[in-house]
Amino acid sequence: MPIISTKRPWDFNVPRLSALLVASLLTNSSANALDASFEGDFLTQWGVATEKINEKAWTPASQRFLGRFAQNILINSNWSVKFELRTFAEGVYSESNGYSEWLRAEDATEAKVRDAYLQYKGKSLFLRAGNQQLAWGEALGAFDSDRINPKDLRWGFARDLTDLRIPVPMITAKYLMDWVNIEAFSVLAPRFDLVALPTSRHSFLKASDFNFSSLKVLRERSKSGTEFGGKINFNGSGWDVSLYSMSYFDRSPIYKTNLAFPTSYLELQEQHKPLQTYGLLWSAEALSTAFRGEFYQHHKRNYNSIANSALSSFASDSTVFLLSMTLPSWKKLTVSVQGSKEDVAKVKAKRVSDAESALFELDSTLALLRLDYSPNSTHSLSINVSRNLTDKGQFLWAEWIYVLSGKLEFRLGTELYSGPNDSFLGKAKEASQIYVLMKSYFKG
Amino acid sequence: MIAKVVTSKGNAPAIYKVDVSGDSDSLVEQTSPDRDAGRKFLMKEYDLFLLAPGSKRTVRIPFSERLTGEVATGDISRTNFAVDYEPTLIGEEKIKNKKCFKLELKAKNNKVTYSKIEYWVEKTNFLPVQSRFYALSGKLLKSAEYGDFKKVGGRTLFTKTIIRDALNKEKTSILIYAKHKKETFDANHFNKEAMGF
Repeated sequence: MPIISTKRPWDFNVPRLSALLVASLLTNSSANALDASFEGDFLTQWGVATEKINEKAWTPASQRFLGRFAQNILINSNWSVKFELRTFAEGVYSESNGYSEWLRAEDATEAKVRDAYLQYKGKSLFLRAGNQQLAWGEALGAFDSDRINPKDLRWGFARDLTDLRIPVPMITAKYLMDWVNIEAFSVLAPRFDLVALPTSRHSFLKASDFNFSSLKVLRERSKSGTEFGGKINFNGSGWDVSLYSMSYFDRSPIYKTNLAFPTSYLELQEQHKPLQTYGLLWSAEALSTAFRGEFYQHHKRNYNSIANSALSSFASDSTVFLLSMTLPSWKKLTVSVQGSKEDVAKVKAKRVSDAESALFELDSTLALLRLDYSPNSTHSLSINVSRNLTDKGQFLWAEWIYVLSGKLEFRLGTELYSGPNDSFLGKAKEASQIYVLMKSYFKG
Repeated sequence: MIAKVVTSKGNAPAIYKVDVSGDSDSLVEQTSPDRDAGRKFLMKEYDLFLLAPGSKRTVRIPFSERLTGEVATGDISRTNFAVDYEPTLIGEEKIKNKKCFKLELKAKNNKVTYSKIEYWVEKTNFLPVQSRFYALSGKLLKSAEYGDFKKVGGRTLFTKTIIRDALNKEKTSILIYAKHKKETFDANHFNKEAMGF
């Protein structure tokens, strides 16, 4: 097999070469019993901010490099192993645009093992142990029931799901019986959402919200304890229903004051509280339209509230209803719409004092419109508009993909946050940007 | 079997691994080009599910969702006209010097890829020659020519289809089937819950 490809230079032969070597070592080490394959991608993104920061418009918003390499090894027809490594660097933090030293230290570079698991695939029983992802629910552009794996939200939502979900160490088991399927998981080392830190563009926390000039957040990265949950799925011709239950730590943090020097420096500590969630998922097709629905209830979820710039918290049950639909394609255009409504029991019953308000808008109603236009296999355009009907915050994400080859694509996109300054999405205005990115894929 | 789709645009061919069971179940996994590798479509009767690489989420999509170029999911994974359509013999015509029966196939329900198909088969051996596919509105969507007939498992099957867009005749896709083999799949091979494993 020729190692130096005659294809275009951007098809990246160096990782291909190293992956081939790794694959050949693995396959030769066991008398050719193994079947190894690899895949991965490289991404480079440059973005410019569209909002004025420090009176400067059009400042660099992202200069990101991301590389991913995954190795799959099929030991035999039942057993397999996967290993994935991801590395990134965010170059924009090295510029002096108000980014803090500790943000730079935490989020400027990273190299981490992602999926790394051993898998057994039998006739009806499927087992997986190790760092992995388990996703439930089909909501568009949201992770309503997709809660088991924490999310990497350091650069907002306008990214591939692959990059957003953080694999965690867990054991999963599925027992499949065609029309009824059972699934269970246990997370051995709970991990939490990586939320954008203050001074980064995607942070929803501003020092000014608390009347301080400087704000620092200490992340709670992990917790001791075991999480578990299960799902039972029933399906038939044209419909699919699942019920689930999870006992875990909330993936989203609440904040507690750790240190405060009035008006100058405030230090907050993330905390992740135990949470029980019950849910129902369904999907069906009718009138050539795919319908998907989710309903779930959190039992005693903790929320932050703020009164006179001081933080406190309260616990309340909450429920979420979600309905989304994808209409049949029309002239290569696919339209999807989604609506969701969250009710926080204590807020709805006005049992949270008038003097304090939730740190982020609760009891929200969200509407989403997604358009996907693919006139041919070279061009595609996706537009995603979300609006919080309660606090009037908005998010627009649009991306045009131009496929240069089967291994390389160019993307031109924008993520725009807007709305009142006290709205959740309006607080992320500084993250609004226009970007270009190149993504190269390899496999073998 | 393997299905290869080559489009007139000159893009890298799309290659799919196609597993079929009976008349209604099929699992299609894209293996090429690299940027689309790992994409899986599961069709169970009239339900269609998509697993995008990396998303780890299996999502229901409308049965009519298209796949690539001028080729629809249904073109690759489900071409069993006898199950989905009601045939009527409407005449005889000569196509490419072959004497053919002309059939009109009407969809038995609104879930199949096309509402009506005009289908020409050779009078002597009943092998397909060409077809035209229509939308519910009666509009011609595309046409197809069949060729490269081969003996597979004791049956003669076409292994090449040239699909032309009705609006833009220059837009063509060539669909090539190869490496047919008989395999025994576990019952859960076509289970939506198993797609991520």
